[in-house]
Amino acid sequence: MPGISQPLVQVIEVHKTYPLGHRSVEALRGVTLEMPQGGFVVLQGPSGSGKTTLLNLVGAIDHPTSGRVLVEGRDMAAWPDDALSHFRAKTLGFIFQNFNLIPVLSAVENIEYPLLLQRVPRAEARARALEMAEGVGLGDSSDQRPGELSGGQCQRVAIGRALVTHPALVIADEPTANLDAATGRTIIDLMHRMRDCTGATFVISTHDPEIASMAEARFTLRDGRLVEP
Amino acid sequence: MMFWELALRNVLRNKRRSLATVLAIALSCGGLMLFGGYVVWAHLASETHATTMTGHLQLFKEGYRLKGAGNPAAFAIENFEGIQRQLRGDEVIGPLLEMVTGQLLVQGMISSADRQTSTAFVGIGAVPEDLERLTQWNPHGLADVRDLAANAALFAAGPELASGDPDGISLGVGLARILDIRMQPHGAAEDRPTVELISQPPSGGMANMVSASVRKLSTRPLEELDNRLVFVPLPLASSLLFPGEEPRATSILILLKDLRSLPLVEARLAELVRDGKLALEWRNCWDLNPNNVRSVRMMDMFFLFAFCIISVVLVFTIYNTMMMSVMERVREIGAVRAMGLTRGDIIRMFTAEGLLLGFAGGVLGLLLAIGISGIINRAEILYIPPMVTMYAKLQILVTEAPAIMAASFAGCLLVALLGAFLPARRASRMQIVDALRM
Ligand SMILES: Nc1ncnc2c1ncn2[C@@H]1O[C@H](COP(=O)(O)OP(=O)(O)OP(=O)(O)O)[C@@H](O)[C@H]1O
Ligand SMILES: [Mg+2]
Repeated sequence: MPGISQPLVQVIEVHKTYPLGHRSVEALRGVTLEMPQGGFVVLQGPSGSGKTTLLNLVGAIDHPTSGRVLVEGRDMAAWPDDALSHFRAKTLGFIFQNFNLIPVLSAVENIEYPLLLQRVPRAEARARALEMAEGVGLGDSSDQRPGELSGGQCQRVAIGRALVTHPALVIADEPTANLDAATGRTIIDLMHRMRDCTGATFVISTHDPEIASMAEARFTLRDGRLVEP
Repeated sequence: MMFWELALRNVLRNKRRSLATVLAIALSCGGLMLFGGYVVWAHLASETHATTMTGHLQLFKEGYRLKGAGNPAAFAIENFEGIQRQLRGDEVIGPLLEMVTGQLLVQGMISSADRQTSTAFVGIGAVPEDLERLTQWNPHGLADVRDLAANAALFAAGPELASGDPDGISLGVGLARILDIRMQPHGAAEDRPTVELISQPPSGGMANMVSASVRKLSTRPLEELDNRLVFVPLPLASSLLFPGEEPRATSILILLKDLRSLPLVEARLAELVRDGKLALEWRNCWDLNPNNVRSVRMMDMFFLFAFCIISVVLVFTIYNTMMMSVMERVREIGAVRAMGLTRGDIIRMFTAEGLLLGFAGGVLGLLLAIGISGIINRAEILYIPPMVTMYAKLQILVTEAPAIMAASFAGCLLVALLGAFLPARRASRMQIVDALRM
């Protein structure tokens, strides 16, 4: 367990360079920041500023070119792929801009899926998934497949899916970008509410200044560097 | 886990593509099973045919196979009935025997005084009941060529020989034509054409001659045989070569209850010879019918060839289907990998989908093969097999050969596994961030 005072995420002097043909793109140029336990953190910045890149590093689906990323005090740079997978399954939840639900599973089955991956018994998994579906306000739509749901409902399913395993950290890259403003607002409200009742740390990226203003901690990126907002 | 259920739903996601793949597998696999069923039939028919010609084993006097053809009588076995008794009483061989009988090969001239014709003949002296039993031998229950209407003319006249008919012989149709002999359609015994059989006794001296009457003409499987072969009752044949002596045989023919005991019997024969209890050499039905062995080997090669081509094509079909499926789901793969699926999980997920396609194709192929073989077997499709002069009924033994069914089915699964593996591996190796950016 990390100590009370220890931040959940520490990003230390991180650089990330993507090769692009003969040149290379420096997406992050020395970022250092900390995210508090249980916080609601927003990353903002213009397009191409490196938000997604940073979230990928924190989400342990990519490695920094240099510098260190610690989650719960652990540096995963040298971990084998399977260990990273297990870490993500246990500790992290992902919410994507375009939902990325499994189209052949119903809403409640999508929520259930990560539990079954963790070998939670089927009956228990179903019960927890139904409870979560209720919690994210899916109502009667639990048996419908993603293709039959609205964008807002899809993102509710995605939130349920991300939270059902009780992750310490939920990563959401522009979760409202595919939604209209009003729906986006209710989704952010839902995320706040879920944070309050689960205690999970949320880190989201957004272009929307109004959403950014609701955050407890805010980081602004520009050209791969942290700047004052 | 809803592992298989998820795989099934993913397979059903693109119904048309999956259906096309399943049909491709089913048709290939079903076709292969039908071909396999035909090859199985060919094996059994060839074995049955060889056995009715030569029995399972023949024992000869030493040297007969090398030199005996020049003078079969010189290699005659004097005490063949005693040896038959010895074999029947043998503790190993006895219980395995269906029948043991003597045959005497005679060569000489056959002539018709009436028609003033004569030609060379090869005669097989046989015990009438035993010869009949041999020609009726059908341990695998194949469609009996005698039951086919198309062959009615060949078999209408009853058995080749009869024990109540000591001088009645049967000729090939070709031989009768050479001798200009014609049978009265419904003639009484007195109306049967008479012929003389002439042969040089092994002791030398004057040629010996016996009279016989032609009881039956029948078409022989080979033209060469048709023009020369005569079936003669063993006592009559023996009296031609060894007048006034006990009957002798040039070979002792063994029919086993089950061909699978052949190695056991051969081992026992070797033991008897080694211990000096038997002074004969032997040949089994494969040695005696090398062409049968060659033609079924050729069928096996065809089958193997077809099997390889079809397998390769199927592997590519499944590869193609699975590759499309992977490419359509790149972002989904990135998402579930981010959620914690390992590379192994991804490989399992896609190979499971491939296996389902293979399984469905295999089941459908099996049903197709059973259905079509049933139709073909009922349809009485006739053809003349190589080296034979009578009709055979096309039979496809699918349900009768569970090994072929099992192998084809397993082949489908294996091919599906192979075809799905590369796309699955490709899916598992994607960089998660790249997959999510798609
Ligand atoms: N896999 C990659 N290969 C090459 N260049 C990349 C790759 N991923 C990101 N980049 C580049 O890195 C820079 C930062 O990209 P990133 O996606 O992190 O920005 P972002 O802040 O998320 O932008 P947006 O708001 O448009 O999503 C951009 O210039 C982008 O083109
Ligand atoms: Mg982005």
